[in-house]
Amino acid sequence: MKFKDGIKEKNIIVKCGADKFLPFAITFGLYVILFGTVSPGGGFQGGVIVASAAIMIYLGYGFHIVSRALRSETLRVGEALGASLYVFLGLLGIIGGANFCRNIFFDNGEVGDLISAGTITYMSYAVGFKVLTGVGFLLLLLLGILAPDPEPAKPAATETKEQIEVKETLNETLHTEQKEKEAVS
Amino acid sequence: MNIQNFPVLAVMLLFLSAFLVEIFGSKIAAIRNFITIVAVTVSAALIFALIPAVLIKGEVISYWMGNWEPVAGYAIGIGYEVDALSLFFALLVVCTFWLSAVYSISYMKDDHHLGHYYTLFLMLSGSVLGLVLTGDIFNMFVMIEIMTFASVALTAFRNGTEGALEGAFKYLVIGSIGSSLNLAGIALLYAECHTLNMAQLSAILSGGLSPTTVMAFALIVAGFGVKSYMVPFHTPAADSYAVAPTAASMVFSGMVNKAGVYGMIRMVYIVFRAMDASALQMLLVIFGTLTMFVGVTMALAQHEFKRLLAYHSISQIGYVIMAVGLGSTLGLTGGLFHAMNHTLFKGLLFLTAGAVLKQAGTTNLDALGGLSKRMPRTTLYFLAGAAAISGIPPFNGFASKWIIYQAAYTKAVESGNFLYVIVTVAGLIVSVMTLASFIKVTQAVFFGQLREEHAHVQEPPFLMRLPMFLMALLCSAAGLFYPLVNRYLLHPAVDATVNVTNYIDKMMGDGYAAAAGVTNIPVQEVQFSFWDPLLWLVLFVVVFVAAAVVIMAGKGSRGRVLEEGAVADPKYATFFSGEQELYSQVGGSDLFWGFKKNWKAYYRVMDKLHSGIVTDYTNMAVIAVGVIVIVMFIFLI
Amino acid sequence: MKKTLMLISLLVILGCGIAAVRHAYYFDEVTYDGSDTNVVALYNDPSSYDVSDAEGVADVIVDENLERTMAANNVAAVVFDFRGYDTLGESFILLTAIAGSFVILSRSHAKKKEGKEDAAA
Repeated sequence: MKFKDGIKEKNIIVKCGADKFLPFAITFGLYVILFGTVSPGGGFQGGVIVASAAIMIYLGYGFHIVSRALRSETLRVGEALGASLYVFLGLLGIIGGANFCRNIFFDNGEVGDLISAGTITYMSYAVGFKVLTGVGFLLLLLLGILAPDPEPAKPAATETKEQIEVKETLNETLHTEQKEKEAVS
Repeated sequence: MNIQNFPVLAVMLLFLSAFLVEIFGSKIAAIRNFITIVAVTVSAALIFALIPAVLIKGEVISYWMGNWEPVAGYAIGIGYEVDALSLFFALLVVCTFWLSAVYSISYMKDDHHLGHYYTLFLMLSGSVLGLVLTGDIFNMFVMIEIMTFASVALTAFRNGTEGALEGAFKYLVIGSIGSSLNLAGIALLYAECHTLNMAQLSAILSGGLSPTTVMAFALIVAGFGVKSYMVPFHTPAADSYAVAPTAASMVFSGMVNKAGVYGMIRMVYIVFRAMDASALQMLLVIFGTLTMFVGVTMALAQHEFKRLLAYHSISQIGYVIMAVGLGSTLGLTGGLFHAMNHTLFKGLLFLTAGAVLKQAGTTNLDALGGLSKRMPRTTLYFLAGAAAISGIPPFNGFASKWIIYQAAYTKAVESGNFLYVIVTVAGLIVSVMTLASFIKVTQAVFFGQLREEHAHVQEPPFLMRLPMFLMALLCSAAGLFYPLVNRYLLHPAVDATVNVTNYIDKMMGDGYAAAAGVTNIPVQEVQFSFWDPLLWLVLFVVVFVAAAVVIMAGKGSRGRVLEEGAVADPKYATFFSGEQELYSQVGGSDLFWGFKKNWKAYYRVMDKLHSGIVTDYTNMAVIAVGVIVIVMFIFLI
Repeated sequence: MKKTLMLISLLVILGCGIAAVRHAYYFDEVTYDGSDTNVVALYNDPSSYDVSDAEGVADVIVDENLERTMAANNVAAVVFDFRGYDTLGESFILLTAIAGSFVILSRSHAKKKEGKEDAAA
């Protein structure tokens, strides 16, 4: 076990794996969110894939690094912002004169484009953002229960065997010298 | 901004303010309180603005989300349909949540994480309002899920108190079973009818019930029964009401189980329209009577104030289910009126319990006493609530219970079935036992000797007294002016429930119901027997004055306090076990110990059934679901 | 005694459920039978989908989808447009569950903090 700044480091293979997979997971998740209207996927699915980034950082680096990287207050506020954005997109229908949740500009692109179906794409983005921050916050919360206490920082080098033997013989000679002195005086 | 948008705006405003509290209100209390009060008030104003159109003129507001009108006779979008029954419950919802929000501003002042409390409170309010206004069966399920999670989290809010997490866990398990039953029923219904809109389902199901739809009916009724705490499902109610913060308990016992009752009325009367099958009537009446009886007998044995109120809540819901199950319009009137009154008086009682808890620090009946000397106004409000629940004229509990007795008796005479005679007598006996239980509570908490450690309690602050005053006023007004209540609130609601053709036509287009062959249940005239509330008020005042004269002519204190250093007189040794106590009190919390001793066998059985283990409660729930399924299969196919 | 009663009631529910599902399977007509659609041709030209006899909600939605929502992914159109209000409700469920778990679990956070302070002191 190695110690660095008093925090236990993880296995090198797991750390390297997490380093390599993390950007791929985030990019793939964002792709699934963005292309929700033209290919299978959508807001909920992509959001959970991106939120798995929290688990990857935890597996590679441990809880203290991940709680420094992702702040729970920001995630919580972000979740509420995403939900408010979705409600606002629904209220656009009432502002535009029709009923609630009405897709008032559904003909703003061709079928199959990225920005095509009006409020459907934007609602998908809002839900993706909400699920991303929400599930990330939930994972941080649950991982916080499992967090081990940090070990206290131990002295740097361990002593080799010869040094221990030398110390012991020195102690013995010191003891015998002290006894001789006491016996004399 | 026409009036059609108001229902959705009311619901969405509550949800949006929950998010605003979470973003802005975690640190500063003033912003939180301001957002909450503004949201609840504006939402209430929007719902009250619908009264002239829906209740007085009799229109039905039908509103399709996203303007997805029905195509080729099939409903493809989600619809809101606000008729008189929905508006009746919606008015109750907004009033209860307004009063609870005002109360909780000063009640919850000393707690931590208050931002989360108000978020969950506003989500709960939005979901209950959304449930009663909707016309789509899957939307109802989504709102039930929000309601369940918000209630569980609010129950576990003070997770430092003993038993809070345990109560929340039990509520979560049983509540999830109810939601799952509901979902299974909805899935079977969709497989058979290929639609999720309640008006269209009602038209399709008028052609008779097949095995699939009977199974769906049984599962949905069981699911809503779990939500409204019918008898084998009533077990988490006592635990969760006792440990939740009192402002939340008031909302749970006031509105969350009314959501279950509303769902049951909607399903049984409008979607499935099976109310004229006598087997279904007997099933609901038997469950209602069992609930009444078990609730009140368990309440007589409790030693904690809020648990006792929770068991009384279960018992009064039994009255409502029994009245709804009678199948006549008089019974339906009584059931709806009692549901409204129960929200008012039970809310009032829970608010006084919260005031006692906050000022005196405990709700244990053995440890309280004589609080009327220090908190006189709270005592007055509590007496109003206790008189209302026991059915003493001229309060509202008397009026609604009178209608329920009359409905049960009329049913017994008309059908000649001996079961309904037993039901009427059981209703009267349960009412008497409720009165007994509340005499015990009044004596134990408010009258009697004041304890030393409570010698300095004060009245609760103004923001806690205001909701209690308003609720006591509404209780008395609903009792004194009940013909007005009947004309403006109850009669339109009952009319809307039995007039299914109107419901279907307003949603799916005129002529749809006639084409599908739907016929109405004939409406009976509701006649009250003659009694004059003013005469009863005069009689009540005379008796009250006489009783007050008798009480004040008696002795001021009931016991003696020994001075310091004095030796106890051995002639008192038998009563106080020979110990030297400087200050002893014989409390009133065991006033009916003779009753409990004589019914020892019954209480032993009840004690084993209410063991506190979640697996036992789940067993009882599954057995009840099995009973409901098999009864419906045998009698309704 | 309680266990035998529970087993009997579970068997009763299972039996009635099998009767219900059997009736739905044998006596109700299937609304959409997709066994003879050419997926590749459909992908190349979405408007060639033959919807001449639409019946039942699923058929109607597939029929109305392209001209009314212009979304290529019909599932996303159903989730966010036809029944968008239910998706709103589902996201609210997620938010309530997360806020609720924070409230329930905050005690263990406080306890762990107290434990660490006691160990450090």
